[in-house]
Amino acid sequence: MNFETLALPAVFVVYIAAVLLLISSDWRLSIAVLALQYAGIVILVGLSWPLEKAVVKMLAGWMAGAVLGLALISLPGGGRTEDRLQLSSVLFRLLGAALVGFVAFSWGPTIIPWMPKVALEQAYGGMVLIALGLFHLGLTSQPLRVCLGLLTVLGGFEILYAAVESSALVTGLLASVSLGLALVGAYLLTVPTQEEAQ
Amino acid sequence: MNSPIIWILFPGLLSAGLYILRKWERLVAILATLTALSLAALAWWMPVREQLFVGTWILPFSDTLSIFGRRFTLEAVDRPALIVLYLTAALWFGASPVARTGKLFVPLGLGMVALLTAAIAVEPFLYAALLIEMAVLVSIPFLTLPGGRVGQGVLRYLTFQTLGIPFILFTGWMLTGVGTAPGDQGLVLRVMVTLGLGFAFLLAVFPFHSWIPMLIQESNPYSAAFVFLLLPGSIMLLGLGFLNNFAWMRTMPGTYLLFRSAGVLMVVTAGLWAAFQRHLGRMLAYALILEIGLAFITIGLAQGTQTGTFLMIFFAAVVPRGLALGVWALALSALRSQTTGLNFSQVQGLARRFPIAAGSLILAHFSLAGLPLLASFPIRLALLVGLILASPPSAVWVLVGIVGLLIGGFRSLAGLIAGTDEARWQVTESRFLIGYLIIGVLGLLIMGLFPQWFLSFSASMPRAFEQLVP
Repeated sequence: MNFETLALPAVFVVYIAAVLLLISSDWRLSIAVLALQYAGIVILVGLSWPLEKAVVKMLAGWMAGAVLGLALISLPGGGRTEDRLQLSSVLFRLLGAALVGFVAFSWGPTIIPWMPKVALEQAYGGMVLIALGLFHLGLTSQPLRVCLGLLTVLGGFEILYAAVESSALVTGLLASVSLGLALVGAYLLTVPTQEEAQ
Repeated sequence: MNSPIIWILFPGLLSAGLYILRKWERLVAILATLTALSLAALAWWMPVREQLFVGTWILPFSDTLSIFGRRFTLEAVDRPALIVLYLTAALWFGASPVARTGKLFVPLGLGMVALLTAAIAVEPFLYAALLIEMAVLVSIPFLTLPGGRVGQGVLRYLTFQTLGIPFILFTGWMLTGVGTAPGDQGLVLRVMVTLGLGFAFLLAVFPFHSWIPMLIQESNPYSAAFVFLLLPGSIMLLGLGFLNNFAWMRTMPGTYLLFRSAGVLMVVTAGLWAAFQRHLGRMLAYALILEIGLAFITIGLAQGTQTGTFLMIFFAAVVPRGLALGVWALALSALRSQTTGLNFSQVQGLARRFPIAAGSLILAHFSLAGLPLLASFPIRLALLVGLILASPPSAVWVLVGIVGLLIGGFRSLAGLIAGTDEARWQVTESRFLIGYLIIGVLGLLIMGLFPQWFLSFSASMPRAFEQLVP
């Protein structure tokens, strides 16, 4: 399957998804957006890898989202883990995301001389996700948001790394790390409600 | 049959089985301890042959297991590392019920050991970074016990360890480029920067160190010390793998200077913070950071004709460090279970009710600070002599750091003994705890008096890095 025509839209999809993750207060929206982000990631990874292998990333990402969703749904209060973001906070995050996105887009082409195998769209997508993921991590101390931020950073890294490494073992290990992050995130979300005897 | 099945798959599967049995905490601890001891004994005694003789049966035996076209190899040179790893696990698991680590510590701890063994075995060695990350993920549940709140330390630990992985993997890819164009100074600089950042995240190099004190404050010190003993050790082996595999890196003078400078920075900052610390848990954390710094300095000195000597010192430091940390963390866990917190104001006078635990804690503290007659002293002495010859100003700074840790020890002693009332001295610790602590303290003294025993054991460990030590 030829992903080249879909590559640029995929860059915008991952950017919008990462921004929505940043400002979303509703965990259902966050999980849905995470799934969308992984759909964008698989298109960008598909520029370097065959589809059947690239899809592993999406499956791992979607399973990670499902694990987090199941953990949140099991929480008392329907998974409400934090107060809604105030308008000022949303505006700050949007402004920050715009600035970080601008920096990431301007840095994207500069990494191509370092990594000639990386396509321009992959460079944009990878840098945007890494930068917005780091921004997300810098703003939060909530287990769910930390987990989403780390998955975003790893997603960006996986786009860039796919261009230079195609080992099956690494693919499997990276998928395991994404799933492991989600499992740890799920554990951390539910741990205050678990009984000590467990 | 092959080595990775024995030392990776078997403990990995057993850890899953023990997780199912976690309700029976003591049984799980006993099973895991016996298994870890058996695996350490097997690594010690099992002959390195192509055939295994079991009674009248002759089984083919190999040191390699292939998964997805990549190899996991545990050769004869890896055996000392396996002995240390599984012996440490056995010691830690044995005392886990008395340290009140929770039901998840032993099963997941064994899984973590299996993953770290896989990290030693995997080829190409760069993939070890991903296995180390998986070990980190496995450790999170026993650092945050059910029913407790999720602290900032555990989130930072998860974040920093995860952020370090991309840097290491990218470096690995870039290094192949340096191999084909060794004269490209820009590429070399990029490699060093990404590698440095990766290891700074993974090994809590200043200023990425904040999660260690936070995590020890939030978690059970015994579980946290287990993680901080095994994880930096495995990451350091990964770092030595870089030096071993890439000739240009070990021939570049800046590499060793970088290790030494990072180490001195860590020792000085940790020592100074320890000197002014008022929390027993954070004190242990700064001692750990100081230990990582000293390990960095040892690697930084392992160049030229001194490579073999300092690598031997690097590996020799593992045993006294492990024992001292074990004693310190066990004593700290015992004290923690008797108070609401570990601030000096909260532990005042505790030594009068728990003299064995308090005394062991102080002795382990002094051992890590390198006090004469205790286990770490011979290692500290050898390291300082080497550092004085290489860089006298660095040696002075390291001494400042060590003195800071020593001051922290005296302040802890004062904090534990001082009290508002003149309470009567009495021994109230459990017999099992007393037995374990006394064995540990005797070990610290014996190692200090007869260092040749563990020095001779570690003499063969550098051979795993055949390019570094020809």
